[in-house]
Formats: sequence, structure tokens, C-alpha cells
Amino acid sequence: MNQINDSKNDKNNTNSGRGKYCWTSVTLFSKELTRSRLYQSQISIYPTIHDIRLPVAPPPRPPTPGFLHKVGGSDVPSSAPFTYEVSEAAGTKTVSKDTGSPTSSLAVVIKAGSRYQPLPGLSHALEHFAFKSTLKRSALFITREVELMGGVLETSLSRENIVYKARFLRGDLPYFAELLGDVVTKTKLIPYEYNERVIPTMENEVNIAYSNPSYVALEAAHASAYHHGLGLDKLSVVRKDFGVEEIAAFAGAAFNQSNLAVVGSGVPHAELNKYTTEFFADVPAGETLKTHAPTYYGGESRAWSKAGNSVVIAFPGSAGGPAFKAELSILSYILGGQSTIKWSSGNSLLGKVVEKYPGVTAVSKNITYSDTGLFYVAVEGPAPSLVKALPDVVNAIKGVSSITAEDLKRAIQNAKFDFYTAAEENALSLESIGQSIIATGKIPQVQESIKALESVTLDSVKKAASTILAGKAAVGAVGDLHILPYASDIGLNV
Amino acid sequence: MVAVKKITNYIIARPKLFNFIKPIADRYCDLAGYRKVGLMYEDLLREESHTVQLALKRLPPRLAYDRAFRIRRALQCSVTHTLLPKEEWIKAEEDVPYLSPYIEEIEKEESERKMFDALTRK
Repeated sequence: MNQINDSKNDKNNTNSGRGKYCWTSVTLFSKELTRSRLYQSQISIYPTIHDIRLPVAPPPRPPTPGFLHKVGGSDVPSSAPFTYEVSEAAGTKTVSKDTGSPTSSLAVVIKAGSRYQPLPGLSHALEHFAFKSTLKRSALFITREVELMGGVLETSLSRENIVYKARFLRGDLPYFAELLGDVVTKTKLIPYEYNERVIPTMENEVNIAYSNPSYVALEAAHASAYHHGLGLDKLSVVRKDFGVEEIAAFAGAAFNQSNLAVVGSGVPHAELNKYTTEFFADVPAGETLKTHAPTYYGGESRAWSKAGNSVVIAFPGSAGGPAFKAELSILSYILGGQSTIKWSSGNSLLGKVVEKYPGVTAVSKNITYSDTGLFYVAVEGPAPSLVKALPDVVNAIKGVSSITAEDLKRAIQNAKFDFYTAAEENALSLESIGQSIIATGKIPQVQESIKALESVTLDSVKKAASTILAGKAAVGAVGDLHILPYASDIGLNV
Repeated sequence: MVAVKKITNYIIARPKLFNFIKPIADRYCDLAGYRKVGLMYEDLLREESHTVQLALKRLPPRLAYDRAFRIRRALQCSVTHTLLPKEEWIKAEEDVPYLSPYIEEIEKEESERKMFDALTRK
């Protein structure tokens, strides 16, 4: 330390002592401690930092920002990021966007999710038959070949859709288009494959999902909210009364041109159309699957669980696609709960609540379906703290009526960030795009959706909040029922 | 299994040879006598191998039940040193390959797996 100031400050140093010396001449930001001086003095920087730790005055703060301190730049993307192109290739609906990225995603979205299944669990079984033996190649062949090409094959099941998805290097589009076409039109549905490979994976998924209390609570909230259709379990919990014949019949009814869409991301639209025409030619024309229109009931359902405690408080939410109500999406960001900053619980309404109860998490979301939506707050944690946190969570939802313009601004910025992220990622949001295309034939462009988010006002959010609070809540409580409160105990109307 | 299939196909592809062999084969099956105790040829396939065990597991329930029934009936005949009454004998047209499609499929899977395991990428 002393050696740093070899010649010039020697006198000061001996006179005033280490502390004072540091204060006056070597702060981190002082011009005197430049790199060149350090090199000159041939001294490591480490002792310097340790020495100056205590006596140093805090570094000058940046000027206190006004709301959203601008440091240059604009929040409008430099160029229009992309547009969704929608068309039909030999009767099959295609939609894609191309950002020129080196990897691509291709998904077949089929409107055959659990709300459309004639028997409980059929959709789940059909989803698990993905990438099994087809007329052209065996399951092993698909696996090994895709591995060799560095591709990723995924499937997902929601209440609305079954999605078969492939992610791959940009040049491999023809192969994967052919593969997905093969899977959709030529899967063999062999009984022994069902017994040996489909049933065990289904059971495994059910076991994992139903040992997770927050999953069960959300299912319970769905059941209270919709009773039938959307209210039924998504996964095949009771697998009975069907075999491959029934699965084949359901697939036959579901896999047709008015019921599925081919969604590409990072693929040129013309090429997508070309290959869809070629490889999805065997998809027959047909009727779209019907289910009865959802009715929102509301109410409460409780289930016992040893694995943990979770309570989901749900309200009628916003549908997806063109009928999307931006204020409900913004409302979920105002309530928030899931901090975007590591090691911080965030400054959202729910974030402030859970800060007081260690171990408790509360997250608010809006799930969009094609014709309705579910807005919910999922609260999870050890039962004793959960009991104390729940009334505060409900109060936070009620407290939306007193939010400020800055809360709204923060929520809008958050929502915009998430929306852009989902839109620009190749593999994300393919399902919601496909769902919107199947249901309405249209997909709102990114800029339109962003505009809708930006145009949300304080009044519209407060109105949306008071509307849902005036109606009935749908509550699912899972865990230690001896301790967990009933909805009416925490100030909800069910 | 594969070798037998090859020879069969070789014979079937040549009509003259086929016409010559067919009566001899039919006579052989008749003399072998398994049809007279109510068995089908594929009930006699050696089942002490993983391939055939898996194939048996994959049989549809109805076929598996019938197979078990035939084997039990034949065992009973064997114990009592009798043949079935003539109307219960398995007829030549009933003696169909019900198990070998499953065995062939498993063998195909195996060879495919071996092929991929030994694959080199150029």
C-alpha cells in the first residue's frame, strides 16, 4: 500500500496515516489511481482494494432517476422484428415467421387436447404415441436418425392441443417436415407398443405430476371453475375403457385439415408451404372437433396431499388469439409474484406479500384458451405460513384498486419484455400461434399485440380487477386440509 | 428362422420345384402327427429364447389364450396316449403362421439396432 505512492505522496502518507491517506487520494474513482500508475509501481491491485474498503467514502451515486430513467436507446425494436405469414398448403393451414436464425422449429398443433377427448385419457395416450413406429420407419429408426442430425423432438399436451414439435438446424427442414408428416398421417398405433412403451411413460408422467401439489391445486381449480370439458383432468389419471382402437378412432377424428396447423419458426414460408404440400398431403379434409362451450361456475375443491401445500385462487380470465384482453394479462404482471431479479422478491403486489413469509411463493398468471381463459394466483409453501399469507394475498388482489401509474408502467414493460421474448424465441409460443390459427384463421402480429398491451390504462385494469372480484372465485386447495383455510375464511366469494 | 424363410421363398419362387415339394411337405406334416393332437406348427417353435418370449408376450389376448388351450389339450392327449377325435384335428388350412410375424418383427428390430450401433458417419 505504501509503495503505491512511491514518490509523489510519500510525505502525505507518513504524516496523515493510512486511513486518511486513502480517503484523500485513493478512492476507486479517483483519477490518481490510474492503471499506468499501478503498473509503474509494480504492485498488485488486491491490497489496494482491501485497504481502501473501510475508510472510503461511498462512490458517487448516479443522479436519482425519475421514473424509468432513460440512458439512451429506445424501447421500440430497431427494425420490425418479423411478421407472421399465414397461408394454406394443399388445404393444411401453415403459419411461420423467419428471423434468419441458424436453428429452426417446426410444430404440428392439433386441436385434440384433453377438453376434446371422448374418453378420459385419450389425448394423453395419443400424445405419447408420438414418434413411435410409422408405416415408413420404426421408433428406433426415428430416434437414431434424429440424434445423428442433432435434432430435438418434443411433444406437449394441454387442455386445448397436442403439439408435436421438432427443433433442428436450419438446413434440415425437408427431413423434419417429412418426419412430422409421417408421424401425423402414418403412425401405426401397434398394441404392443402401447403396452410396452406408451403406458409406462404415461403412468410415469401422471405419477410425477400428481405428486406435485401445485399441479394438483391448479387441476382442482380448473375442476371448480369449469366442471366439464376444461375442468377435467388433463392427464390420463384413470386409464380405462380404451385401447388402440379407441385411440385410432380419436386420431382419425382429430387429425384433419380443419383441426391442425403447421407452425414454423425460423423457416422460410415458401419452403414451409412447399414441404407441407408434399408431406402433409395425406391429411384428410374434415370437421373440426367440437366440445360444449365452457361455462364458468366457480367454487372450491380440496384434496389431501402429503407432498406439500398449495392453493390456487382462480377467476375468469382472458381468451387467447384475437379475443385477447390485454388488461387481464397486465393485471397478472401487476400482481406479479415471480421476481425478474435474482435474490429479490420483487416490488410487485404479491412480491411484497411473500417477502414477509419465508418459504411462501405466490405467482399470478393468465392461462389463455381458445374461447375463454383462467386468471389465477398460485400460492405455495409450508402450511402454517400459508395460512397467514393467504389473507394477505387476497388483500393484495383487492388492493389492485389503489395501484399507481408507475405500477402499471412497470407491469406493461414486464409484459412487453416477456411477449417479445416469447415471440422471438423459435421454440416458444408455437402452440399459442397454432391455437389462434386453428380457432380463427388469424394471428395478431407482434406489433398489434404490443400496442394492445401498451394501451392498457389504469381504469381498465381496475375495472377488470373489480369485475373478477365481484364474481365467484374458483379455488383449489391441496395439502394439509386440517390447517388450510376455506375460501370464505380468507375473504373470497365462492 | 431366417434360413428357413429363405429356403421357403426359394422354393415358392420356382413353380416346378414347388409343385414337386408341396405333396411331400403336406405328407410330412400329416405324418408328424401334431395336428392330430390339436396343435399348430408354430405351437412347436422353440420358445426358450428372448425373441420368442417377447413375441409370445406381444400376442393379442385371444391368440395367446387359444395357444395355451391347444398346448394343454395336446398334453392331455400325450398323458392318456390318445389322439383327438378326427373332427377336432387341426386342418391344413387352419395351420397358419400366427407367431412368426411377431418373431420376424422382433428380429428386424434387433438387426436395425445392431445396424445403428455399428454405424459410422462419413
